[in-house]
Amino acid sequence: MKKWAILLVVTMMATLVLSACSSGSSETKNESQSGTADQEKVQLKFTVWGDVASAGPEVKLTEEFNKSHPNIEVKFEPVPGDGYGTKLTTSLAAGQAPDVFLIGEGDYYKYVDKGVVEPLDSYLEADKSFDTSMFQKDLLDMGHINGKTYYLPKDFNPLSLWYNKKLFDAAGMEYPNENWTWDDLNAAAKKLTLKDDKGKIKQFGFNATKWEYPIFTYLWSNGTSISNEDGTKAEGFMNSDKTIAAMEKYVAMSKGADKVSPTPQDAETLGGDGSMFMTDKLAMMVTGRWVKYDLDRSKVDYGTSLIPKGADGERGGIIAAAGWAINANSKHKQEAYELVKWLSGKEAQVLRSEKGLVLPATVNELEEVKKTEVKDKPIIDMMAFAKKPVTMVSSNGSLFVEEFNKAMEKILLDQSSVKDALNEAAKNVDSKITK
Amino acid sequence: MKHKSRSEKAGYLFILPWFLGLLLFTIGPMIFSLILSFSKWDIITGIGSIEFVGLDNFVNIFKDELFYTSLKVTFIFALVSVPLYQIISLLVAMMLNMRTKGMNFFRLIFFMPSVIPAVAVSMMWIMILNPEYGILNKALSLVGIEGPAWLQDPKYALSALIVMGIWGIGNTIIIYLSGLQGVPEELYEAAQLDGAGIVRRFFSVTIPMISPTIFFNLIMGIIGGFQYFTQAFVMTNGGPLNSTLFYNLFLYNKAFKTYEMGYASALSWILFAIILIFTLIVIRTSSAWVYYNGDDDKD
Repeated sequence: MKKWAILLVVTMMATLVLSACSSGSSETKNESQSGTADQEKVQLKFTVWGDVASAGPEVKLTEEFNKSHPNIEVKFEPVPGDGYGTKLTTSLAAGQAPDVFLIGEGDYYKYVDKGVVEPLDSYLEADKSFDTSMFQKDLLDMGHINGKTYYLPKDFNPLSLWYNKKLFDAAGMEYPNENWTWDDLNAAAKKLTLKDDKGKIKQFGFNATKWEYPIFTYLWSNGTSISNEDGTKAEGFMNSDKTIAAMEKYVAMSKGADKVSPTPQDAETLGGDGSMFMTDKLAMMVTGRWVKYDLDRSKVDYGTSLIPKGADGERGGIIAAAGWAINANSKHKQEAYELVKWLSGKEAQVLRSEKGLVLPATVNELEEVKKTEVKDKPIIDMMAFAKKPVTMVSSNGSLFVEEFNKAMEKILLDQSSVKDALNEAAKNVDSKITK
Repeated sequence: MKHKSRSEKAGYLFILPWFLGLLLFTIGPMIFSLILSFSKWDIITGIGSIEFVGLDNFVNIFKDELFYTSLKVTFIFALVSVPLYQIISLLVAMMLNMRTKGMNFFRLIFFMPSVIPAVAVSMMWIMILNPEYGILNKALSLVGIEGPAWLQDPKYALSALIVMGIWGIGNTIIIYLSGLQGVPEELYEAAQLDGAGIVRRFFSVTIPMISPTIFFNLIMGIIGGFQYFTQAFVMTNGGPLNSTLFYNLFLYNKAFKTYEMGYASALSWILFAIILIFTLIVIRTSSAWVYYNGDDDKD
């Protein structure tokens, strides 16, 4: 009896200590702050994914911010590797998350939905010196959720069509242009797909990826989508006749005797579309502008064009972006706002886009790039056709994407027909939607 | 009296660091996860949002198709890999137990893979198993076989992981080896004088004498088999078509991808129960087949 009682007391103590560890963290942080020499100095932390080496501008921006704000001490803590989401989530749970953090457009809704992101409207209203109209409207709109502004843009990457000039020249073909339809792309891809003497494909015309973003742009150009406008219904969209017909055509590009694209498995074993493209094994792909960094450092001679339009002349694009958010539980939101403003502001945009690494999110600076950079022009033009993927219109978005990906996997591995797989996926989505 | 209590105190003080570690890092989290398994918690919104839901998690788990898929994958893996690894380990250990020149070198070779971190091993095997450039399919093509896309084909992915696991059985081999070295030579001599051949000696002398080692390795193997995670996480991430969705991977996805901490905690306690049952079965049957030297009064 006595032993049990002791054990019980000890375990209860342990749990108390544990819970104190997690919930009391913010208080201890405050204590250490007041203990520093400068009583007034506010400590802020902010984080991005990637390592310090690739975040040169952020390091520099931090230094400059600390210099111009003597009352604030900012620490920059990037998270390398692919553990960013997990790290951010667990630190939010423990109440130790940074005051300012970076979120990718696909997760914008999720974090707002969880209530961990602070709306910026009241800060923006009170601050007349900061005019958000200097940003690209699309980018600002993306950070606008349920009537409030939650994110200010860091950088962005529109999707566009990338083509390998050498392979087009070798085939004596004209480069893709803005009048191309998906049928034109398909026909060109057929000519650009070459086999070796054993009948094995040594050069693919196009990469019909399983990644949902290019597929979304393809579906939009075909006048259809995997969800309704507000992302609450899949039945009649994900499995509509239009979607099924379009997806049958899309899948046929990477299957059968006439295939012009690697299957996702092929692409994976061949090192991914980027490296296939750089080694002249792939003639065309639809992907985000981030690929430019690698392409510019390889020997590949490439060009960009608009993503093809559909038979009816419709065209769709997606802008991938990253935005700064303030932690809703931050102790120093006003200071955090100052930091967000600085990190997304004009100076930061200029600094980041200096070497052409990223496109500036501000209107005037982007116009400059468009005038001088031939390869960036079609990419920037794609912004005019940008639509929001389902993850950016609803917190149900990830449900749609997850079920759609599952259906694609089944189709590509010959486990199901396009129609059956999409019917099942639509049913699954609708049964799981709660809002 | 006073003296005794003082030494008692000293004893407790000595174990205190370990005991605190156990409380903080093992018992505490276990109790927390037990509480969570009856709750709903998405982790992001902090500790205040834990919501008690009774048995909901368990009810939902038993309705979840993926739960059964992951159970199936894990059971197939354990059922095939545990006996397979034990037999191969024992055979290798017996080879390494021969008294030949340079044996230490071979022992080193067989043990070395278990020192390399699982993630590095996995990355290497991704390359070996690559259908296009991988050394395995290159070797197969030399004898006229066109190897499959090992990790990308739902028919082969699980088998590929099972076969790959053989590479990492160094630990088991070492334990068998030490077991084999503990078998007294005179038993073999006596058996040989009685006319026992090599097979008879193996089954009537070696196996009974090392049965405690087999017992230990079997239990560790079962636990390891059910908790398989790293390689699948790195190499296949459960795919293709969930053909390598191991139980622990399913659990991880629930906890850190969809942030259903309560659900994941419930899953972990179910796994705990499963492993406990299998371990108990082995322990219960052990009196029938495990022989302890000098434990003669029982017979």
